[in-house]
Amino acid sequence: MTFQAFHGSPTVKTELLDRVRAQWNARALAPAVDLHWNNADQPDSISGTLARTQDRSEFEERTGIPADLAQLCEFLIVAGVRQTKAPDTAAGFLLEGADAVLAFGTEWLNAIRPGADLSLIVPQFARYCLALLLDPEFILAEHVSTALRDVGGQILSFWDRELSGESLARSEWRDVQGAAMLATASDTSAWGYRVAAFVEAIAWPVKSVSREFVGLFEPYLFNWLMYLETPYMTEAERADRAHLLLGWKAMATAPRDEAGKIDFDPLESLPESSRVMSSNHIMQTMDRAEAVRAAARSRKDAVITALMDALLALIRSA
Amino acid sequence: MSVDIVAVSDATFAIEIEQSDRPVLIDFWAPWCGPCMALLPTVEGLASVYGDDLKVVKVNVDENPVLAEKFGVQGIPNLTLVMGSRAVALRERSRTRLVSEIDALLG
Repeated sequence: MTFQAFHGSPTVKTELLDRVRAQWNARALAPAVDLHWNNADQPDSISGTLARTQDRSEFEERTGIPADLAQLCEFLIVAGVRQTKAPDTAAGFLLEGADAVLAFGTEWLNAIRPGADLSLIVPQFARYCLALLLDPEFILAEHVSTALRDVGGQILSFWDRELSGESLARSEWRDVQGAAMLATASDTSAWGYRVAAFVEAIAWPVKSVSREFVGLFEPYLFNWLMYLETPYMTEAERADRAHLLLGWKAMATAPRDEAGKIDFDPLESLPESSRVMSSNHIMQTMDRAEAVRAAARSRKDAVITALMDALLALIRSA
Repeated sequence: MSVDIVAVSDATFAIEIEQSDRPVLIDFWAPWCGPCMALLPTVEGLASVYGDDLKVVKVNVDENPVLAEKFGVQGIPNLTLVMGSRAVALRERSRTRLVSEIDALLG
């Protein structure tokens, strides 16, 4: 499909944005990774309202914007806001977040030039994120193993060749995918697992990653944002967080039988993970966890708005 | 990249799966299942990777309980690879791992 944003018409852009602007400014729309429109179970999302549809194909036909890009933009907002139920309000919910995060709800749409082909924005953003991950100054750099860094560098180089028009053999990708799985398997860092899993999952031609990108990026960004909370934790809390991450990893990687069932307790050999994952522990530490989250809020907002700015720059350059 | 994946029902199972001359990957899902929707792009990615070597279909478990029962589906999302008379529930969830798992099963 060839994309031409707003079908090349400033009038169409104005008409579609008018549907969103007033409602978004009134906080009557709920950003969502999926398109929500006129759905009894969910409030309308920004993109759903823009195209008045829940269908990806219809969204793309009506707006000329790739649904993957809309999904990514809404995801970044979701990552930076808190939505709570508020039955007494007209919208039925409250949306709280930093002004800079909330402003992105219409900024990304304003940034789109009518007629722009935005089909490569998500691949370019994926490239930006991978380059950031491999930067020695990246906040999680100490949790990126040498093997994973090598694989990430190979993927980046393959993506650059692809984006410059070169096609790569399937066998080249198979080698990188194999190396990525080995790097993930040998990674023992609690904070490194989701980084490694992300790199492993994106070891494909970047244009083919576009559709899956948000789903792959979400747990990685979640891990990254959680890491920003660690300076506000006590030593014991940091240790508990590491046990939690190792417990999640054990649950995610536990061998399953042919029916897909796990026939043992993956946490049996991880008593500390089992302890911090218990509902009792979660209840006991809920207030403290909330205080840590609040303390880290501005650092998280800075990461999210930097990602939004990078995405805006790509959109404007299209 | 978007790939159309054939929807299979209790009524079309015989033609689309049982009589298929290719291995079939079945995505058991339901529209209310968030993880199923999240997995859909990966399933579409798999269809692109294998092209004509693998048939990829989806089964809505709410509308097709007989098929879900036949394959012993106890939770969704569930990806099951059917190779002739053998059916194996896949355990992986990322495209990279699923391709590795499917390649190993297909030999």
